[in-house]
Amino acid sequence: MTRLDLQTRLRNYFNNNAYYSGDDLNNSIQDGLDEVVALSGCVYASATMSFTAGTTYYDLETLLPNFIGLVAIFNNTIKRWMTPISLRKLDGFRIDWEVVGGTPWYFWPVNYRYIAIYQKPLIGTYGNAFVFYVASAPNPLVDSTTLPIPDDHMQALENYCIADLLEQQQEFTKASGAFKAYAARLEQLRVLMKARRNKDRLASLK
Amino acid sequence: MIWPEGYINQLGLDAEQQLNVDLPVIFQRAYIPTVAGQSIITLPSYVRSVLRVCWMGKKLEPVSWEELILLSPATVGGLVETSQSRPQWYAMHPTNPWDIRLYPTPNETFTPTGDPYSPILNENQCCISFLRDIDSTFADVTALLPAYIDRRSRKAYILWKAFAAEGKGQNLNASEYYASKYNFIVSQFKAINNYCFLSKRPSLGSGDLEVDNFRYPRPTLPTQFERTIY
Repeated sequence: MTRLDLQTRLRNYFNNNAYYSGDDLNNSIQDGLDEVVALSGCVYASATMSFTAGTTYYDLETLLPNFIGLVAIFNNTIKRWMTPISLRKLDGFRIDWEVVGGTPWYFWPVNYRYIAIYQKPLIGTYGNAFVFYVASAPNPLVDSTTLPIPDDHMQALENYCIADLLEQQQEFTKASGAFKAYAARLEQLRVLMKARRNKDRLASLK
Repeated sequence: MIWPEGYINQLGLDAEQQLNVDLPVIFQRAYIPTVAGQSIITLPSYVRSVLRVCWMGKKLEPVSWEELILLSPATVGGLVETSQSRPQWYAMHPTNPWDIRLYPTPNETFTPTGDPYSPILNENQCCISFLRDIDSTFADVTALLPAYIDRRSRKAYILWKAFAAEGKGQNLNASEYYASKYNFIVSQFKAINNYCFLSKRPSLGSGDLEVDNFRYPRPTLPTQFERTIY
């Protein structure tokens, strides 16, 4: 479904086609898509990240402008996946783990922005890693942009837009109903995206 | 205009303070100046909680103020300094919320310089990792919540409080609507960033060796244990 398709659906819902301008609808769709994609994690991306000599903490939000959350890291120099680990375990390795040089085998996701690696390369030509991450929605959208949400869960976005447009007209009772529908559909989308990572376990979720 | 601009600005600051409480997730590291012979270090007021303190690249053990008194009976803020050496422990001050005390008292003076995100072996620095408040000036992009959360949560909070205020703009239905939106955004962000909230726990130590962590073993016995059913 494209942005234009969703705009048409919203116009059908609101019946009076002149009530909301095209800009109103497009702004709402963009806003909604940003939120749905960020909260459901339904867009994935990958990028190459060079290891920097001596750097322990990497600011992924600066390195990858559409970064939302980390999924995995592959050390392309040794051709091995890096292992996620906690600060507690790193402290258990050694009290000065932050300054230790060597082959990066572990990463600690610090927060929504930073990761720390252990050990860190001390030479500038060490190599790079492939970073797999949850990405933000395309911005800005155009009419022909295909919205990166499965069609059977597009109602999450549609309900967001309905709630957003109704609250602009201070129709809070109606908006509240649409918002509840949006929250429920968003949860379904998130469950779907998590289940997709483990397709063979879908049956056990029922 | 229903509400004066000054009131909206005031609510904007309130929103930021509320987000500081609800989402303490902004991580930063910084080198802090130390002076030989002074055990008390005052942290910047935007520090919410200390995750880790390193002296020359090595982690200092966090202890409570009571434990620090056991280590050094003359612990009384910075009024009495102990012998000087390389610090091994630190404790948060019980009455000055932004003071930490190092023990033993540092024997070196360090001036902050360099990149705290790329620490080097035996560096002459005291480095702290901490969670901090949102930067009110918006100057430091690393001290802001992500764009997909920040604007929405602020807007929902401001409208929640503005519609609830007494006066001609009062609309309790709208206020309730925006309150639910704010809580929704905050809970969703916590859900997708759960690991942020785990980061404080590991700083408390391994959890195995402290005396407080002992408990009597409570094995789960079979339901028929020591009973004979005929």
